[in-house]
Amino acid sequence: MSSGIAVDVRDLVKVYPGGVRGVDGLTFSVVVGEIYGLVGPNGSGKTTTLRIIATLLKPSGGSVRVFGFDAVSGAMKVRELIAYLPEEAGAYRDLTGLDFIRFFLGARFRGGRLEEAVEEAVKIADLGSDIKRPVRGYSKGMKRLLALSVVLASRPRLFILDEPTSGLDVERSLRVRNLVREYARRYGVTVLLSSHNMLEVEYLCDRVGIIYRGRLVAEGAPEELKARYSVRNLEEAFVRAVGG
Amino acid sequence: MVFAALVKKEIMVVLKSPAFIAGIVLLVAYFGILGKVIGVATEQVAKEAVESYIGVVSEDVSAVTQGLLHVANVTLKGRLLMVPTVEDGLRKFPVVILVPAGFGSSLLRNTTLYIYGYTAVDSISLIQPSRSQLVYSVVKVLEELGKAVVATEKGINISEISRTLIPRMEARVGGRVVDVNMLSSLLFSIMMLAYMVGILGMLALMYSAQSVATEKEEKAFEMLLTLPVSRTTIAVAKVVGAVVLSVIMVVAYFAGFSFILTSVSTPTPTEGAQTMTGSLWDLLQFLGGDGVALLSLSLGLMLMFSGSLGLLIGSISSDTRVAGAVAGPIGVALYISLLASQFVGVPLSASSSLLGATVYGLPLAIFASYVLENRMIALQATGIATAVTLLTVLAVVRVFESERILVGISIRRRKQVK
Repeated sequence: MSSGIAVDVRDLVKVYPGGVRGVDGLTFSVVVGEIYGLVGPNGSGKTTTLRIIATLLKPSGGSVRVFGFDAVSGAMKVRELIAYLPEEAGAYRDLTGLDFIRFFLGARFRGGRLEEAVEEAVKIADLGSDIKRPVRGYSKGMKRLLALSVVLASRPRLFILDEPTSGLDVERSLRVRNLVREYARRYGVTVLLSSHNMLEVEYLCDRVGIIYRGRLVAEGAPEELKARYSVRNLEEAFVRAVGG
Repeated sequence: MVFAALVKKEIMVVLKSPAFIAGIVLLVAYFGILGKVIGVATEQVAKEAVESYIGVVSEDVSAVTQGLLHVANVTLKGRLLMVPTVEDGLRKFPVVILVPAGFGSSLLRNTTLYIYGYTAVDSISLIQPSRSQLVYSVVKVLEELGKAVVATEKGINISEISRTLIPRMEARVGGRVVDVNMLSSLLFSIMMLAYMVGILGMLALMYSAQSVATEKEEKAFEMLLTLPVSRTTIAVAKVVGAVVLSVIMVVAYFAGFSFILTSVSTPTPTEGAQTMTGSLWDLLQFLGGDGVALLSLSLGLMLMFSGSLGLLIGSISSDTRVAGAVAGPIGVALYISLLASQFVGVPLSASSSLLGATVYGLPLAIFASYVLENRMIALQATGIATAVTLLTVLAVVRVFESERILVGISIRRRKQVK
């Protein structure tokens, strides 16, 4: 594998118990340092793919390599290189936001580096004095920001973000997009994200992969895709790609 | 109307859960079987008290004693059978009464007399105290008839006769002679301890099952599993966490149970017998330092077993409702099994070591070991319980390393694929 490839997915198949095919021969790769967006309709296999790359699920067929490490046999090594934000990431309701940040970052850092990372996460979350309150009183948006702060402050080599702005208002969504872009550019972190928001994908992503029924049906930079389907925006390109 | 619909919704949401239905079916079946077992056991106890034959060893061949025993046998509908020795009698009958030499002449002279009762204790159960009661009831018959014999011999009114027959009880446990009151007291204490352990185990099991399921519901679980920490470490940390929290509960419950145990004493101790209250302290004294150490280890194993079993349930459950629906009946079943053991009877023999396989029964096995003065039983039972506990921990680790931890086990609905 090339040293310039962060994520290499080859002929990926995931069959759930009962025979439901979550992913059906998916192939794509993410170049180091780029922001890659996976888009597709509900049930197309986006979350399943991200979960396999994040070592949560095991593939039924094909392979997934992250910076050269197999997501199954080298799962531990992969986990050292990634930070995953699930679509519905929450937090322990009886811990304070600060406790939550300290717990998750404590699994990656020690001593002074931990304190720096905690400080960074607190700044990203931007929850003011609420950071010292139990999570049970947080709104959905606050919880999302808290989880994202931990992911970003982890400064891994790969962010895996499943619907990063899901459930956030316009202002917070914009802030999250800016943060993701800033971290990717400033620290050279590769980003693999999924989203239903084409505006977000067009704004953030260097390349986009459109998946449908577990397979990649189109791939390219947002401008390329628009040109390929002779449409004005990515939303229309998406609809054309999936045969709408 | 809206209120009725809301109530209906609350009920239907739970009733339609396959785990809840399975839990109900399991509980009904379990209690049905258990009720039958307890019914048979209690029936056996009652039958033994009313119908059992009683061996009699008479060292006194006087006409007074022989006449008294004959009348007593008629009164007890032929349930008294003469045997040559106590040992021979205990091989054939649940209890044996020994009438000492000189009993007849003593009956005519003294107001207080002694008679000896022996029981063979082969299990930790309700049968043991009922056997003692059997001796007491026969002694009472002999006492009343003895007064009549004395009245006849002396030609005076029976109301002027005062005779007290005191039974001196001994229990034969695996060839050893044990004071029956002490044994009753210790049996009571160990059973109370076992119940306490059972409650704690049940709480630990339900707590740990809910903890993983809650973590899944709080949506922090997936982030946790992608941390650069081995799943084994996460699983073991969860088991240890569940044990520590259970220990906090142990302290609170232990204090409460100790208070109850120290407040209860064994009824009607006989003269000459060592009087012991049914306190935990007596039990600990009986077991000694090494026995207490083993008992403490058994508590630790039980907590670890319960915590692991709970984690296993929580790990494969999709949410707290399923976890509760599965862990609840299992916890109750384990506890009720322990409760039922007093009716069914826990073997008091070398086979007691097999109790270790249930982990919850380990304190009873340790107790049996010390009563029988056979330390191998305790060691074997502890070894078995340790193996069972480690296997359960291993199963938790395996589940944590598989994707079952995330997708769970679906009974009916399939996971929606995104």
